[in-house]
Amino acid sequence: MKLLRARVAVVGAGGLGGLAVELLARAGTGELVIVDGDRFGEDNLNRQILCRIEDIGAPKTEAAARRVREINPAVTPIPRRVFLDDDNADGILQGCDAALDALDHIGARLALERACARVGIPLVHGSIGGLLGEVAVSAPGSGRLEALFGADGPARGAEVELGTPTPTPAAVAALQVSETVRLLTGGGGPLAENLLICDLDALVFPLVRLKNREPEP
Amino acid sequence: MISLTVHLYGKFKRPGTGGDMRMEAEAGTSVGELMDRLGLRGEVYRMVLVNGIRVGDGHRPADGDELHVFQPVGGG
Repeated sequence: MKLLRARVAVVGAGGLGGLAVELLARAGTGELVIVDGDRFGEDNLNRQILCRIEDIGAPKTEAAARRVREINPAVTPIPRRVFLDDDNADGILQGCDAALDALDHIGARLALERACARVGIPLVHGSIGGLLGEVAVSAPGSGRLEALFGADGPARGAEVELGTPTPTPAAVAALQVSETVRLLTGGGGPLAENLLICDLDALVFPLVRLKNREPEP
Repeated sequence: MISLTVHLYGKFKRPGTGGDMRMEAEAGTSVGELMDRLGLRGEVYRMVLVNGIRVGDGHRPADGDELHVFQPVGGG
């Protein structure tokens, strides 16, 4: 019942976000705020589960809301066809219990983390590149992603050279949804203190203990 | 001398050694100099955590520190 009463923001409705919407709807998350200003393109077909041939050119949020209604009528989709930024984020996230980071740009991820801190909700981060992925949980105000990526770091990571192949978003989105459900149902778990690295090539999933503060100069 | 535990992930792993290794270095050696020894200095997408904190190449680890070296990813 906790899940059915929850409202979760899925920010980004592409590779990670589409799969997260699918899984959170099937799990019975009461309300899904789905945030993305983009439309589907042909290069989304390899990994974005909400994208079909007939969806090319259609808004991603439209496909996501339709899919939620097809899967589970007990779940209410709340599509927001905008790109989240510092100006609109607080209004979008207000009333949510958690947010799931399914963005494709590190700068936007940091804006989302700042907004989650202002609104006071946890953020479940995931990102991918090649057969690598990472998952972390940013408690409100922890600045975990900013400590990890750096406030003035590069906007993109190794996905620029590695691409985003088919299986990686499925693996990482499943882990993000598992952590989101855990948070919503009262659990803590190892990602409170750790970064999970997912290496689908070597098939290793190390937990790396993180600290938030900057080192002494 | 300082002794460090180093974990390398993904394509940074060294063939035949797995991802975990020990490194000995002169006290005061920087992360950048350690990356030189590993052949990773020029990697554009490289993140180094020392004891769980992201550091730049100028950081000088202390004896017993633990380093994690991997490619940051930002795709979705």
